Amino acid sequence: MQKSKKAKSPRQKAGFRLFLLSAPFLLGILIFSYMPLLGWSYSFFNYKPGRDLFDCDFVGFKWFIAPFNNPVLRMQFVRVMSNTLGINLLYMATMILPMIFAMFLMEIPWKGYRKLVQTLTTIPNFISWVLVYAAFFSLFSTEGLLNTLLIGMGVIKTPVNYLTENSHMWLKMLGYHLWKGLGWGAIVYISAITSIDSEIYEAANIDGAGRFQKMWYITTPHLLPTFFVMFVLQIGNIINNGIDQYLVFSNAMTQDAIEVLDLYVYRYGLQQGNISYATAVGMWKSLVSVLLVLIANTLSKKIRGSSIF
Amino acid sequence: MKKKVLSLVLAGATILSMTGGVFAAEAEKEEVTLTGFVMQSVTGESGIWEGWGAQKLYDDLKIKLELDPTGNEVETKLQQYLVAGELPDIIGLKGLDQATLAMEADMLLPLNEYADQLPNLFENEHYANAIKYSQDFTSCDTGNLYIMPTAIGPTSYNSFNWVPLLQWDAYKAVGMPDVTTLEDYLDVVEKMVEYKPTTELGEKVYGFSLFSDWDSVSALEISTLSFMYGIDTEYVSPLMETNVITKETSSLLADDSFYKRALKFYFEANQRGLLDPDSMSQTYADVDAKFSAGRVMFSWFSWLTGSYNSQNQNNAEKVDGLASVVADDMKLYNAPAQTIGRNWYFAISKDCENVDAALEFLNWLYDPEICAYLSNGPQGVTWDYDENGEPYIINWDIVDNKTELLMPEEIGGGAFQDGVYAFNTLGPQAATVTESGYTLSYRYWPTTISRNPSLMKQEVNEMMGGVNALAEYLYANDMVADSTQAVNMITPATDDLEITVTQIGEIVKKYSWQMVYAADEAEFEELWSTMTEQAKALGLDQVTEYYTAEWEKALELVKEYE
Repeated sequence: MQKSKKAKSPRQKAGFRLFLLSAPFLLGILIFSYMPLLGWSYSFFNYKPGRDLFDCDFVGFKWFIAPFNNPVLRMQFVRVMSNTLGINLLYMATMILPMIFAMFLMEIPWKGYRKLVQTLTTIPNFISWVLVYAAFFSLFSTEGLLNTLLIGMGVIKTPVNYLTENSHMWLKMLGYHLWKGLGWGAIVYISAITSIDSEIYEAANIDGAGRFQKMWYITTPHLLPTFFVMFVLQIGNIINNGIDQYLVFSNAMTQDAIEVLDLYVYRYGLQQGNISYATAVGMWKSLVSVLLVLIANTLSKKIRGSSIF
Repeated sequence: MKKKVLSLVLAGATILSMTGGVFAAEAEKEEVTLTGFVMQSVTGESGIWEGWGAQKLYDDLKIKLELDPTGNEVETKLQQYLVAGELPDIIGLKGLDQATLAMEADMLLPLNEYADQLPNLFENEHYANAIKYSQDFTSCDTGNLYIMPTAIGPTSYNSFNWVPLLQWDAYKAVGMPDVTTLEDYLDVVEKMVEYKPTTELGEKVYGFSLFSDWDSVSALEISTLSFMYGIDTEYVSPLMETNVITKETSSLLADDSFYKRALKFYFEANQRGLLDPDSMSQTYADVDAKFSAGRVMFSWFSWLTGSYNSQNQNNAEKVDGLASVVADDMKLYNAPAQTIGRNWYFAISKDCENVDAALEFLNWLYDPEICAYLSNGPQGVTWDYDENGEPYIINWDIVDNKTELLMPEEIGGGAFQDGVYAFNTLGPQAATVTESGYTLSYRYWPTTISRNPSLMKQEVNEMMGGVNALAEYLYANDMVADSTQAVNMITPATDDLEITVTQIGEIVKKYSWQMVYAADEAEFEELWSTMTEQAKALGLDQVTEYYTAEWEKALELVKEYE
């Protein structure tokens, strides 16, 4: 008896093997996701490039307070936060669109046409924002297609620089975002649709369900779990909306409405060479992100009874 | 011992090769490739330096120079080098603040410790003041020479950087109206655009076209008009207006500032439909292309003409180009004589693996003869002495088309500009008089100055009352603001103040452009007061105070160096 207790059970043995198998990935995560956190230490110093960190002055929380220690900066920070959250909430509100798009796409009976639509809507995802901007520039700039057309038709007399028009900036950003991401976002739903048991549809056919009824009563409930996972994941990213889209479309006129947190960090931190400040603002960002994910998770638990953790 | 022999042999080889001889021992020296990052050369080009200048370097020292790309945002790139802890061997530093970063990081070689290897720097009287000043005031209080200044020497005659230019043909066509002050350009340009609304290709012509990619702390292309009234808005501080005539300095954002007048000028231009709507979003390259195509009536830099002048100024059927038309009340800023040089520098990295080669290179670069060679090309190819012993350009074709690959292959080929282009500046000023008794650069040789001016220049000189050059007209009418090198003697602000300056800068840039494109005068004024209020809240007064004090100090200090 004693012996068998000491000997490892097969399950334990497997556990160790599995640990070894996953070790490289854990190590990878450790190196690429946790090691960089050491860089946070820069935010507590008055870091000057080229010097050893510990040769620089320790300044405590100076850079954390910096965005708030005067009314103009506070205003800027609030503006930047509201842009970040506002634009992202819009994105989240439209997250259902790729799902709807996927459902309708799969209703197209002719496979060739379906593939064509899918390919054409997926391609923009692979075009960098810089090129996207170049394309929109040639459409909307003073000498772009639109102005040339409108002047040619006599609708307007002097060209308008649409890229410096600053009305409805959030909606415009949403438009660009959807144009670029709709097809790509649909992929996960398309694969979810193909994995729905076809017997369910056959049963519905026998029950006399129409096309829309099948979409509503069968496809939709099957896709919702996927949607919610995507949704919660997106919340973790809510503050993380990247920089390139806003950087290329930003100019003195539009800047107020589209300067998001990442762009702010880039502009005030890296571009101006203030690495410590950039780090501190970046840490504010992480803090807000974690808070939002926790809130979303709790909500999900309360409303749907399931959560990610 | 071996080294000594080698260097003796090399010295011999250099002398021989300079006199055109061939020496077999030259092959013994190993080829060295130095890396370089020259911030002040704003170019996207990179790789091994090529052309006739590079060939000369190779022939003299067996050194090749591999340049890293610069382009826009060089400041960020320098920081990346510093963060990585490694600088290229040869560094060109643009601005004292950037140089200070590198010095504070202790990544530069103290050149004074190698004075015996740098005779061209330390034994040249011409550089003495500059070196002393750098050791005393720009060495982070170490007394070392880390950064060697450039452009040391006297002011160049007739080389104004800021000159109002108008398209000559259109200006003549509207009857050459008198321009008494800045705002008069609006009326003149308006008439000119009416006369020429589109180019021959049917492209729309604008009165004014600006760009924003050079903006740092203010809308630079707007503030820069101040130099036409002798007001510096760049060297002392872009947030200050320093009048080099009255020697007074005040805030850029004061209610009676020139900057506001300049903003109003372009606001007015936009109201009249004369301003290119792309001004805020386009880049220098876009604007340069528009100038080349003859699509802009007004230019504010003497050199900002694209290729429009070279295409049209000698076209006998229709003489055109951008010609200087200076308003009566202007006083054009004239760069000061710079005994301490300007605040662009050359330095050597402390981690340089081949210090000897790097020192040799720097010594070579500050050799007046080499500087003359790089500026003018080789004697007998591009220039020579005439029967009176005066230097003159043999082949203006090569010089005028300086970007075209016209230099002979046997001296290394390339374009005429390839000599200096990679460095953008040399040790001595172009107008420095060398041992030959003539200026370093061909541009100020008597034979060049009396060279047949272009047809357009002839007409313009005629208009100015039959003068030979713009400078002649300006000096005769008391329209020059001679600057002082005190503008180069400002200590960079402390870190915290620097942050304040950039924060204010972001506000100023944003609102300035919005003001130019404001819908009406009420909005213009409202934006101005928002801008100044926010700038004040961010600490504008501290900035003004700091630079005012610095300016006073510089005015005292400069007396020792003039």
